[in-house]
Amino acid sequence: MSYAYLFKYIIIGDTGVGKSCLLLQFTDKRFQQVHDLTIGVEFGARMITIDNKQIKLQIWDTAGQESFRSITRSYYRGAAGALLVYDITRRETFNHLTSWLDDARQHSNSNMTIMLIGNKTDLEHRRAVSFEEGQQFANEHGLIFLETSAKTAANVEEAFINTARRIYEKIQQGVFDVSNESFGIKVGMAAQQTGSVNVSIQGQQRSSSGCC
Amino acid sequence: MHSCEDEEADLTRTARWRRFADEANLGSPPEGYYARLVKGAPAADRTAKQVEKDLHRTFGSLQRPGLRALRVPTPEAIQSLRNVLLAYAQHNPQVGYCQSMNFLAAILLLVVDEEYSFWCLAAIVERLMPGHFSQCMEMALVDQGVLAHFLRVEDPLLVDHLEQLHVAPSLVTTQWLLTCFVGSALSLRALLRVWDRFFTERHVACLFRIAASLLISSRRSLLQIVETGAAYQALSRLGHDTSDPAAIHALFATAAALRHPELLEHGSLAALRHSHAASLREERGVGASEQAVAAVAVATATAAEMIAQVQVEEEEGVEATSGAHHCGSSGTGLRRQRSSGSSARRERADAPAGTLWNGAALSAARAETAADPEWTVVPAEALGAEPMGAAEGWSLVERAPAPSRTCYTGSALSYVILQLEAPRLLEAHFASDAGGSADLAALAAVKDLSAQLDALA
Repeated sequence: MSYAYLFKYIIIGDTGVGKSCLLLQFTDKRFQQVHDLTIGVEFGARMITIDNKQIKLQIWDTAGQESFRSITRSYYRGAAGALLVYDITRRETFNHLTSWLDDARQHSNSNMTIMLIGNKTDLEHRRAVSFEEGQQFANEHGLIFLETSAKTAANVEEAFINTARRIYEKIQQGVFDVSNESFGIKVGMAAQQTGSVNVSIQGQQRSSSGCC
Repeated sequence: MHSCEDEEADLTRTARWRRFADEANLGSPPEGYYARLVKGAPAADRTAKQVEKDLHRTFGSLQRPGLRALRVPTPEAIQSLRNVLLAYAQHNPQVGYCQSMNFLAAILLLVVDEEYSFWCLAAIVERLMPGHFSQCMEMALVDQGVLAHFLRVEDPLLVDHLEQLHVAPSLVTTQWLLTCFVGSALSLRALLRVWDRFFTERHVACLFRIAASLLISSRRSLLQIVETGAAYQALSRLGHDTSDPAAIHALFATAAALRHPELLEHGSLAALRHSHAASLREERGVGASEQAVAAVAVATATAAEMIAQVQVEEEEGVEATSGAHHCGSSGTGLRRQRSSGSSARRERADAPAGTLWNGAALSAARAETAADPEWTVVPAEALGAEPMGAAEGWSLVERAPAPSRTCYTGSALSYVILQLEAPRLLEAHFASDAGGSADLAALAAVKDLSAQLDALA
């Protein structure tokens, strides 16, 4: 299938925060109560549309246990976007964000777009990290922020698509040399055929609440 | 030596794995040690919490494109897995609990009792793959590099092709090595054969060869793929077609016929590991590189001990099949292996990692494959229509041996592995909000199925 652009993503965060479930919900539109533990790195892909352009997302889902960082680190390179995930019901996963962010910044290209995700909003009754705290952390570190539920699919589409939209904007602004694949962006046949890209981005103000 | 091989073939898998644990750990287990560890394991520390989270994620579901499996553990299986992992974290705080050890323990528990599962796990973590499961997983990183190098030498065209598609083999081989192929699509039957071989050869090169075999066996179809997702799917599926003896035989035959087995011999493997560890300096910094170099030294010394041990056994014959076997290897690291008369044997000493990949071993493997007393693979048709018939998409059932073994906890352990194509059961299991009650329903269904299997037998 032809695409205008291909973006590479990486999903990072502590073990058990729901990284693989977010990916499965996004690619397969289903939730798995018990998902196999990720060892090393797994892969998923899906096509999305932004500004009438077909954009292919290639997503690398990583193991979360601390010791695996030495192995997953090499996947930061060549990623255009990162989803940094914590579990709103477990404060320690929020407390570790700084260390994840340091790691990501150190090993990725400096223009990588990072989306902070507080997952498991279906477990509101067990919430241990407030929305405001998440938002504040994101503001302080220049990240986009959303709370999601991989279980109900709330905001899952938005998490992946808003990240893509931000990357797309950066392309429009000429931030990337898109001929250089190390930024995690590849120009597809579709973009080359239609020539220059349209600057306006549709649906940017779309509501980010809930799923429908 | 001949009689030794006969004896090898005669031993049941359970006995062989127990013997492996005894020998690799340099003696039979100290009486009561495991029981004390289980009793003394803290129930609420960080490790315990992590293990608890992972217990169900060990069985969960196995998802491969076009292949789904549901592994249903009994409550006893969960308890045994918890015991083994927590005991190990107590036993070796330096390693503690590293994800992927849960998959190893789950497979061990299918074959040996809890206590021996613990000792086999210790032998894998400390003797066969030292440094792979440590805090920084230095050896996992190093061996990934070494395996990548080996694969490139074996089949440069294939590796180039995959890398161009951004799916370097390491994408799957990381998981293959750390889980000793539990995380691959290999059928359970093939997986256990690989472990038999691994425990006999006692060298990580065994896993490298299987990895190469899986990739090279499918090189033609892999080379035709031109898209990243498709390539990933194909890599994840490698080995899924290994449920019949002929396929398993082919897997081992390809592994025995690699073009450059000499690269995996003890000396050259050590050199490769060392140079890869040193080269991490640029990418990971001096500290990481020095850690890796140190880990390589330990791994090399341990591998030498294990090789010496295998050779001593080959020369002296195996004294006993009971648990009370004491091996002759001392702990003196790079001790020169004892020399013996025959030139064939000398050849083996020079090429220890290749020892078990000769024709005799292959025919032994073939014989084993032909008679597999412990596992049943039942085609869906044989089960008839109820309660979950072929119409619902059963393709294969693999069943754990009848739970005749007694565990440390005093309960019998068994779980059933079902491989199926889009069955209703699986959908129900994962669609349900209450995972627990779905588990119970699945378990009840599986018990029905087990009864049917027993009736068939």
